[in-house]
Parts: sequence; structure tokens; C-alpha cells
Amino acid sequence: MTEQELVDGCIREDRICQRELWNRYSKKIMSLCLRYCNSQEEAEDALMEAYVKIYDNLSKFRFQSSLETWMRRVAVNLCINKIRARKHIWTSITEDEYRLGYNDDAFEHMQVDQIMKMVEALPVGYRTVFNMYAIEGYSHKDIAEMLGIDEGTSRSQFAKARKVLQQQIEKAEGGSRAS
Amino acid sequence: MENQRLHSELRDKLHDLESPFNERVSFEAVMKKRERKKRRAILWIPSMVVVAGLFVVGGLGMLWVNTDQAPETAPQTTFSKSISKPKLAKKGATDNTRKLTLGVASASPEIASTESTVLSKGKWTSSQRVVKVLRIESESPSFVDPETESPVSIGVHIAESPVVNEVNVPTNTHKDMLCDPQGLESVSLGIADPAKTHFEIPEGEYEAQWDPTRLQSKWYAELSATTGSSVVINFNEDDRLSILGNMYHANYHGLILKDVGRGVMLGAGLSYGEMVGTGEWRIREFEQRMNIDSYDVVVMIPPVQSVRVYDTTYSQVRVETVGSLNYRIDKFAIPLAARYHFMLGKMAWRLAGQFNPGMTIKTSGDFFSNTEYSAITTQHNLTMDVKLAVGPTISIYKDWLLILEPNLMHHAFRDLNSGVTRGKTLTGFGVSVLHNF
Repeated sequence: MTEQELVDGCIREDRICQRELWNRYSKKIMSLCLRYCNSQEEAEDALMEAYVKIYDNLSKFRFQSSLETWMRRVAVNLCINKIRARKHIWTSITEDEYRLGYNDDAFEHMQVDQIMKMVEALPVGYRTVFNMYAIEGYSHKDIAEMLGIDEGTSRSQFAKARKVLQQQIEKAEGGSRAS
Repeated sequence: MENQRLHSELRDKLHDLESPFNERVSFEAVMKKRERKKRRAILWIPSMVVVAGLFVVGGLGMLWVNTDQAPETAPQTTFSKSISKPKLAKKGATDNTRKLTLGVASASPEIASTESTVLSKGKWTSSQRVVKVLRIESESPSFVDPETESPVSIGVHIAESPVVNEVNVPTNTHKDMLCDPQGLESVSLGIADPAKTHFEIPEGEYEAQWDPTRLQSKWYAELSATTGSSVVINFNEDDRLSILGNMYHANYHGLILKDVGRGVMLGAGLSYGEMVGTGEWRIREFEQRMNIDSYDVVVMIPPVQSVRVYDTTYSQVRVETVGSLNYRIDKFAIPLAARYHFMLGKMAWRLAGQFNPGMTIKTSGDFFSNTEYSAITTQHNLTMDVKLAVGPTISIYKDWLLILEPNLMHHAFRDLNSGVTRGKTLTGFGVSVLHNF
């Protein structure tokens, strides 16, 4: 079934198409929600809410991007709204802190599960910006608009996230060398 | 650049990652959530409209009430009125039983001693904010003074500040009627036109006109229109039969009510009601279907030959059947009504309860509930409706009240053929007009 057929079917409220949309993308969207939410349960709730939004708003999808990209964007927006509702306070950092980077081939030899756990362990603000910038590929300008913060704050949150990840990677490498 | 490479590396690893979720998260759960959301939207829109309407009407009502009772204006309006009685003027000057009186102790002695104003002059010109109400007093219960042939004397109740007018001395103690010592409440002697400043009371006719009981009629007439609706939704996939539908009712009644005191009214009358429903039923059934697959098996032992094998399997297939539903019930009833009037802050409210025993005059179609539907087999069935309503009352004119009533009404009828009683509770909005006669 092509994307066009899938979307048309869902708009017609065809249960087969709606189920196919669920089967095709739900696990990927779940993975996305897990990266933004604090717990498995919260991520599951976000997943269901995102799908309700997707089914309700599919008629607005204009095929300007792939269906998956659009669905991911809906899910990211929903997760961000949840984070904003929690009134997370975004903090800025200094320019020096921002210049910190990763080590070479930092993630190259790491398992996906390990990276996921590290990302999930990040504080909410760092994690959100890190997910949006490094994984979803949004620019800092877009992130600032979506989160309602300054572009500088977005950059600083990302830098802090990198710093924490760096420390965790070093710790993990140290642990593996010792063993 | 290095970071970009790392980010793309991360993206490759995490972007297409799939994560499992618990059993509670499923396509069916999402669909149920979606239906619940839709249902909430359906229910909220009319509720919000009704609540917004109530706020607007309540606000206008409050505005009206406050304007009518403005303390700065009410006494002055009252003060501009005067009452004179033909042929009473001369007697008023000499006879203490028929003179204008200052009925409260707060009137100053100077005022009490003046004697030059008589009733025939009537018009009070004081600019003081003092006069509260014209008072009717009588020494005989029939309002007739047999000695003087003048049945009434008219008193003016003065308080708070001295008055410079010339008035007669109050010599009698008087029974206050419609007196408001604070000057906050608007008062009335039954005079409809507040703009009119001078009233003639014709000789010989005032006995009936000034009968105070006229102001306290205990009989009321009520006309009311009530509407309501109910949505029947059953999306449970486990039920064999599910129904999705809407019901509406319109009810009109006229009542005669009697005020039995303490804000309670009881009454009876006539009512006509219509109830209609439209919807759709769906039956889900499982059918067992037989599938026969056949294939050829080649037996390689000489002589080589093939054997056709038939494989029979059974599978369960869900079959859905849908159909439409509608019904209409027209009925007449004799409502037995109870009303309770009360104040909540500055707003007057009414709580209404009503039983409508009656008879259907015309029925058609299939009556339905969430899980079943059946035909209404007889035209004339016994009905019993119960209505509960509460809402603000607004004075729209002298002796006329408008009542806005969000309500809850249960409609029940007993099918005389099958002996089955069926019913449904609908919620809605009603408007009543109450007239005191």
C-alpha cells in the first residue's frame, strides 16, 4: 500500500488503512516518544495521543514531506507540549561551555541501547534539545521557536547535553577498559 | 564538522530505532481514545452554549435588578408621587384621622407641628431624600371611617433626615405596609406607571382599588416550552448489537399554580409533548466459513503418479450488518407541578419538579436504547414523564416573570400490548413565563 493510498484510506476512516498506519510506524514513534518522555508509561500515553492527532489531522497532510517525517513532527510537537506544560525552566550557559565537543568516534563503537539509555538519562531540557537537534535534525532557530525559548538557550542546552554525554561516554569507556 | 559526522552517526543509529510497548497500547485503544475525544466534543459544544447563554441572561437580569433598585434613585422617584382625594382636602385639614401623617419617630418635632399642608394640595416638593412610601392606613378593617365618610388617610413615611415640607401631625399609630425604612427597596402601591406623578382616587371607588389583598394574589398561570436531547452511543466492539443515535423532545405545557406560602407553588394543567429519535444499529456476528484447499502430490515410486489432496479448514469471519432506526411519540399529559422560589444572592431562582401522567396519541418506529431496540406496537400507551429544572427568574413586567430552566426530563411509556416499560432521560433547556393574576 502506498503512502497516498494509506493517507486516503485513513481520511475515509477505513479501519484497514488506519491499522496499517499503526502497524507501520507505531514502534518508530514509540522510540521517539521514549527519547522525549520521562518514563515508559508517559511515552505510551504520548504515542496514543499522537496517533489520535495523526488520525484527526491526516487531511491536513500535503505530501510536502514523507508521511513518516510528518508523523514524527506531530509526535515531537506533542511531546514538547507535554514538556512545556510541566513548566521546565531552561537555563543558559557560558560560551566556553558551549565550545565543548565530543571525542572523536565517541558513539561509533557504542551499542544503540547504550546510546538510548544515555540520552534517556539526560535531564529533560538537555534531552529535548539534544533529541531535536542531533537526532531529528531541527535547527536551533526551529527549536527555539517550537520550545518558546531563545536561540542561545537552545544552543546552551545542547552544549550541556553534550557535556553530560561526554562524561557518561568517558565513564563507560573507563568501565570497559577496567573490565 | 566532526560533530556533524557524529550527529549523523547518532541519527543513523537512533532515527529508525523501533521500541516495543505494552499490551495496553494498541490500535484498538487508540481508536477508543479517539471516539471518547469526539464524544466529549459533541457533548461540550451544546453545554457551553447553554452555560454561556445562562451567563448572558443572568448578567442582564442582574443589571436589570440593580438598575431598578438603585438606592440613589428609588426614593426620589417615589417622592415625586402624590395622591389626592377629591373632596378630602378640607376635611383633611381639620380631621386628624384623615390627614397626611409622618409615620415614624425619626420625623422631627418641627415637622410634626406644622399643619398647613393638606391633601388636596397633594404635591410634595421637598428635595430631601426621605420619603419612602405612601402608606394606606385605616382605623376600620373595611378601610371606611364611618364618621367621616372618608375611608382612608394617606400617610407618608419619612425617615433619616428632616423634611422642610409642611405636613400634618401624625396622631395615630399606623400599621406599616410596603414600608422600607432603609430606602433601598423599590416599593409600589400597585401603580403601574412610574413616570406618573399624580394620581386621582375617585370618590367611592377606592375601597376595591386599595384592597391590599389585591397585591397578594395567590394564583399564577404558567406557560412553558422545554426541549432536550440525548445521545446514544455504544462503541463497544465486544457487544453483538450496538446503537448510535440521537433523541430529542419538545414539551409544551400550561399550568395554573397556587402559592401555598414559603415560596412553594403547587398546580396542575395540560401538556403536549413530542419525542423523536434517529439512529443506526449494527450487529456483529461471527460466521464459520469452510475453506477447501487442494494440491497434487507426486508419488515418485514407479509407476510415477500424482494424487490430489483436499485440505479442509474452518475459519471465523466477522460479519457486520447495519440498519437505520427512528421513532416518534406524540403525547398529551396532565402535569402535576411543584415549584419552589428562592433567592441566591441578588438573583431569584426557581426549582421546578413535575410529574406528567398521560397518554400517547401517536407512535411510530422503533424505540431504542444503548443495547436494544424494539418496535412500539400500540398507538395509545400510558406515559409518565418526570421533569426537574432549576433556573433564574427575571421580572419582565409587572406581575410577569421569565424563568430560564436547564432541565432534566425522564420520558417513560408502558407499551400496553407487550407490557414493557421503556424510557430515557434527556437533558435540555426550557423557558417559562409566569403570570400573577
